[in-house]
Amino acid sequence: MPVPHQATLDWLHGKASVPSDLRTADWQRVPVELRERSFFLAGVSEAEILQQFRDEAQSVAAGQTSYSESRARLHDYLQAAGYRPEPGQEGTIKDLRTARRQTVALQTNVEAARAFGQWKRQQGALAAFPAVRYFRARQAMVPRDWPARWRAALAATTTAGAAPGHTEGDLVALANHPLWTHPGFNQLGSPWPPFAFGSGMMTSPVSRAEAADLGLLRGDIAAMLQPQDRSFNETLQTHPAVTSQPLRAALADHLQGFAEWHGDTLLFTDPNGTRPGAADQVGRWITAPLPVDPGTGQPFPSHQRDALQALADDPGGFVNPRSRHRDQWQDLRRLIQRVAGPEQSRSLLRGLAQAGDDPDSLLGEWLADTLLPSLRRAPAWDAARGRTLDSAPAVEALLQAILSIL
Amino acid sequence: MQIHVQFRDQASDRLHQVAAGLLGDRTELHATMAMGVEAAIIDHLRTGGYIGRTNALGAPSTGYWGHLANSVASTADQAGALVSIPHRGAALHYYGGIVKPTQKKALSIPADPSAHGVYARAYPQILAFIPRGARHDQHIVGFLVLGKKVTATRGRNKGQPVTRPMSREEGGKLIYVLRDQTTHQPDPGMLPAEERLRDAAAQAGRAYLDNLLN
Repeated sequence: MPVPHQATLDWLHGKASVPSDLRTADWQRVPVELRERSFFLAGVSEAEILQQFRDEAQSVAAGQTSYSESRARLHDYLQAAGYRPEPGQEGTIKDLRTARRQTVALQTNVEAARAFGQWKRQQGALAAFPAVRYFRARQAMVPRDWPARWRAALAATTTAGAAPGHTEGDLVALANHPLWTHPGFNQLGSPWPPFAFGSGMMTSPVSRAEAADLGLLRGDIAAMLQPQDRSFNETLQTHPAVTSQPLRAALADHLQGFAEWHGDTLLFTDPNGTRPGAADQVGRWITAPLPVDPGTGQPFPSHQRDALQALADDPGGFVNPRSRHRDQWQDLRRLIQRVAGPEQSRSLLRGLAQAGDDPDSLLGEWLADTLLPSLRRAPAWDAARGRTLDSAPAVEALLQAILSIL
Repeated sequence: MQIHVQFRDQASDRLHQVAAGLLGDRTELHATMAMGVEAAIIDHLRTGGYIGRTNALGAPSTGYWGHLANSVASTADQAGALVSIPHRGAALHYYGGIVKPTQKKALSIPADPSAHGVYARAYPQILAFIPRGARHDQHIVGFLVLGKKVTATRGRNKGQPVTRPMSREEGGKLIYVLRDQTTHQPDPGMLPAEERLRDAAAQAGRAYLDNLLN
């Protein structure tokens, strides 16, 4: 029965539509990850004003306002707040009142959020849409030679799985090709655009049939066809122009639980995400107290620590498919994968990679049949039972016990 | 308002029969079909003259159609999927309609390239208001032109700074036309035909099931 025009083009009056995959709980946390990201960026300078920028970026991303409307609201806000740029910066891109600065700030965040959504959905549909087209969506203020960057990145990685890149119309590659994150091509780190500030470029999914026609499915490409799980903020970091030690300490205090200094780089620790680290690092990141989320008025949650705690408190209940902890299985999987090396991750993923089956059920089986029996024999498990996992050493010990099982 | 493309299993009976026999949870199938629709919409905007089109004022583009394409997204569950275009103004372009101001007295319509994509209150130069004349369209409220601050020499504001229009010799020009409503013609061509969308969903679904069986 054909679907009538009015039924296929269905208005939902005034409802914001956030891209989401109803199957995975972690994708539903994208709004939280946006708030974490903006909190981190706001902590670097002019907190209240950048908070306003965050609100406007979310409003545009949700379809509630246009870029023009949001810039007008920012204009009103900055005027009411009495904002003035530093002397000598009036009218430059460092002046938050300028349309250029507002546009860069809004577009970068909105484009990144939307592109992350597309990337995440495509990771779940790689079998039918294994490739991505990179094309120009609007003119850039500073045009880059994307074909030249593409060819250089291919030369540095592999030509398998990618079109040659002679022109801007020829930039198609498998979605998980290493060129997408090669620093010569991608200045910003994440495997989804923007790959440079104000680039004007975007991506669209490419079907298996078209990818085959373009010759992308030949050669050593097996790893590029495996889905990836990356959090929005996995590579988030910044280099604040702060040299005074008391100020650096104050900044880290303000961003409690979200940031660490590594030399002159302020790293976002991604407590709910996928930033990889050693067991002691990740233990520290997920047990650090987190600040209050301006969006909810409650402290930002620590989902991975909560999942580990739930496993330690009631292992039988945790692995039960009918338990309320089922939503936490993906948090635990993320936690394990961020500390496990590539070989150990492959061991974990081997049992979960069957296309067409419910990966949540397979994860539950792995937890019940493999992880839990082995974990019960580990000394760290006995130590964890009945304790609150609020210290990095306690979490690290349990993570090491899990790693020894993989 | 947003545009939503909703489809359910009935979109392809044969696909539905195969899927029902093979799959317990059809969410992943529907998510893949939705991705097919997303790709069809984005490709249509890219190749159909929307992304990259120039505006009537000849101003630098705001990239509206690129942003719109970038916003295309979907959700899926056991019963079907929903593809959305949550970008401000998408539905107005598709369905057309009349727009009226809700918070101010008039809509400011750019009349100069420098005003494209800029709200009047955020315009970087002083603007002066000129009321409409008798011969103008009844929906025109007035005009905003480049202005200057002068000191009033008479009247109730004598001695106070007031805003006056700049003359042509001073570089004055029209920046915005103020209207109490604007009428937008529908453009159903901004989306692929329904048949094309259903084909895209069905092709994606078949690719998903082919992969499952091989």
